[in-house]
Amino acid sequence: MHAFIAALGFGIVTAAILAIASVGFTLQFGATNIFNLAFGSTMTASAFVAYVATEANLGLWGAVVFGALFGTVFSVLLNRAVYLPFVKRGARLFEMIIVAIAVTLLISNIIQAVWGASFFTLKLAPTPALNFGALAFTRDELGIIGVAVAAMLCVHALLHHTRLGQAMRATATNPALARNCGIPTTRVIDVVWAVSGLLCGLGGVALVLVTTSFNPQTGTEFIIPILAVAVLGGIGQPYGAMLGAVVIGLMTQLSALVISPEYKQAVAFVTLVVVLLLRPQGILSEVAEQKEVVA
Amino acid sequence: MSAVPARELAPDGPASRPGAPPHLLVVEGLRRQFGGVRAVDAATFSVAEGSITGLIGPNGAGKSTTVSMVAGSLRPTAGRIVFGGVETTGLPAYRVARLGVVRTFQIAGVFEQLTALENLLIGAPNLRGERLWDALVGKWYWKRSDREAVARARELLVRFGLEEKENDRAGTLSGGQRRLVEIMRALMAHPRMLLLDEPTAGVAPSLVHLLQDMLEELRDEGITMLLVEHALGVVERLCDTVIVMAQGRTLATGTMRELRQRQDVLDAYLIG
Amino acid sequence: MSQAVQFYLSTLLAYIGVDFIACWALNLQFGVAGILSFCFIIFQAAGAYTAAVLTLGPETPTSFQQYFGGAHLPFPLPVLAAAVVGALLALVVGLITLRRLRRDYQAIVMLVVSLIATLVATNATGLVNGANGLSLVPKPLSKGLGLSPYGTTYQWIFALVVCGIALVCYAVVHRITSSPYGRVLRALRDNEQAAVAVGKNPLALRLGIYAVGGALGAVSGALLVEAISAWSPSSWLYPETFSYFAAVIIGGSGNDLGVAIGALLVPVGFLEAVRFMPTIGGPQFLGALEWIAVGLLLLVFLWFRPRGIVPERRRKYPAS
Repeated sequence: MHAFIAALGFGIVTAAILAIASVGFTLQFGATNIFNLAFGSTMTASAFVAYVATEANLGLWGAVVFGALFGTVFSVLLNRAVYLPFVKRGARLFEMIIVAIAVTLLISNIIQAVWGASFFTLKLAPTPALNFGALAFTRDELGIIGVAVAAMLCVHALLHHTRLGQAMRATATNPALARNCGIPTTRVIDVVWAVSGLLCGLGGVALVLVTTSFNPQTGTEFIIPILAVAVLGGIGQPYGAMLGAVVIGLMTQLSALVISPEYKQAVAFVTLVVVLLLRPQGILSEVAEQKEVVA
Repeated sequence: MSAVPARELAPDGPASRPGAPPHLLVVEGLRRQFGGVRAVDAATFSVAEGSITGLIGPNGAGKSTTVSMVAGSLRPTAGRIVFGGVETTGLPAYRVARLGVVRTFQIAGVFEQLTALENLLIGAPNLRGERLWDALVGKWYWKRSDREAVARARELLVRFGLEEKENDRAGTLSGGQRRLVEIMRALMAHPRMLLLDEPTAGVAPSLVHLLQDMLEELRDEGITMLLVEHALGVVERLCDTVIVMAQGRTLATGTMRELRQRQDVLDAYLIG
Repeated sequence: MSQAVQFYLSTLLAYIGVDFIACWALNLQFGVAGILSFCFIIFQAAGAYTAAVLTLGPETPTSFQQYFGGAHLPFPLPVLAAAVVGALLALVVGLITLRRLRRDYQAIVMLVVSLIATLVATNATGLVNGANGLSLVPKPLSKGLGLSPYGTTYQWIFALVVCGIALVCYAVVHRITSSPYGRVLRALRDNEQAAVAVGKNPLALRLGIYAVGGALGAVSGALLVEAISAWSPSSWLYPETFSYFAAVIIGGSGNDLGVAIGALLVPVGFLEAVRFMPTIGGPQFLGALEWIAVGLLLLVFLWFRPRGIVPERRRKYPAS
């Protein structure tokens, strides 16, 4: 029972991190149809920026702020400098995914070249664990869960209670129509990348806060669970991603109770494959053809 | 020709007038749902063999969706499609094509890296050498059948006036030339029926006339055609029968002149 | 020529042969058929493991390696067996993934298949000895020829055998790419809907070439393991697929000569460049530099010359 509670606790924290990251990913993919596979390595890069901040004794807040800021700025620049020019030139979807892979290779290996392949830890004071009945969370973990909830509420508010959010949803559904209605789609897309990048940066910092030690590959591999969540929830559906994050986060950690712990990652892998093969539109989305998942 | 009340031109079932040609394509109660949206709802019509039948209607009427269902690239949510007496509902698109239904696309479907000649060769049915085993066996096995196909393709290129473009990549051709390549490739496949999805879209006006002449020649050679078109002038000139769709339903069938006199058809174009 | 130089050159020749075969295999899957085979490296891995196990012989109580199966088959049987395993693996992967998914989703599924394969191979210790991999694979021809496997004569003979096999592979590849089958796959790649509209069955056609690509990829793995005598999961992590992708794209996707040039530039070229560079910062640093170079080259070529150094050529047909 104790193991179960512990796994449940881990599951909730994992779900929180996944939620932050996948909502960012799916918002951007929904609006632009570009598979930004470099999302994971951008998380790693943000984590390393946070690391530099803690090494400079800027503490937890410094780490979070600089990590999130880096994620935001980097993602917007990535789109403007790399993805957008290719799209404007009429690159086909499969070329774009190779571009994304190339960017991933670049980011994760530049990090490795600069910092080496060994493991790093954020220089932060350890925090006490707080108990809720049988569940125990550290202050950082609670913070992450709090941030996740806050981020979800903000995203919801943004999408449904602001003009910008409306413009984002319109651009995601039908870019040409949105443009014809006078929506400045290029600027809206910049904002989409900025929001996505902000969540990416936050997710990256959260990830290394929880895993305590990380290396240049950490975030890069995280893209697969993010993809699994995004696909499970329905591409482009932020609420689906939130739901999917809970499902996959919990399943991944709880699976360690029944299968060998090395295979935990396989939960996300297998979910991704199974969902894409059986119900590519995800559990929430009803409209597969509109999002062109099916050829 | 006296005006015939629209009632008597009811399209469902076999030919309703004695002496009328048999219907090559019969579509009954076709429906296609995307999530909550019914793109096509209870479409029913038929296409007489040897005719050029038009399918018109305002934007969003469901014409392209209907064509996709007839071609097999979309599975109907409900309804039946019968081609040449064979039920084709739910068959995958390549099987429907092999039964003799060849479809063209709104944006002319060409293979951009392949030459114009090779584009046509892809249409040739039952070519030796198109299976892995044939390829591994060696050139001697498929050389002759390929040569024959090349000769046929060259004849078509001459007929349609594109023989000089034989070795040009299809990606370098103009919109009208691509459309011609697409149609020539369809002809290589010995189709019984052509589904033409807005064939004049993207074609220069000077070429549109040529295209119309070509389609009439093909009709005279016995190929049936179902033509989705927005350019009503083309429809008027080419089509013996015209089907009107609006809001996913088949509204009426008749000649252009008859349809022009129907209030519901006029309303559909104004509203839809 | 000194012994050391001879060793170096003969090994280089063997690597060239191996990478040519691998690039031709990927070219069939990606260049001709347009499949984003992001799991390509698993075919090379499957071939390497198969050949290793069939040369090592079955596990003995004293052996420190645990793996499945085993036999002492003489060369070239392990290579042929590897080809069969590669083809079967490709059929399985193809049947699962080459369905009605958009091409970039297919690519993701294949990438995940590669990750799952690595995970299983690393953790299922009884399968292929887990993370330690298989080693001390006996050199194939030495017994048959009665030569010491450490002598230069053996090295040269092996390198020539690899080249011979590469020529055979080239013949197979050429037959496919110059046939109507190759033509119809290129058409499917360029515009699947239009090809289907004239009756082509995309799944059946693609499975065939995917299987051949898998078989040839496996052959490259089998030859590679016979050359280096060891094979472990670290030899085939998922980024290796992209080294081959870079070779194909830079060299000229769709063109057999082009991808051979790409093979010389990327897998072989980088290997040699690393050898000659001063060891600054340690092996991790150089390794990272290699991948940075791969990433940059990919972006540069995709932007300036996406069709590669030697693009797919137009075919002209003789006058009737």
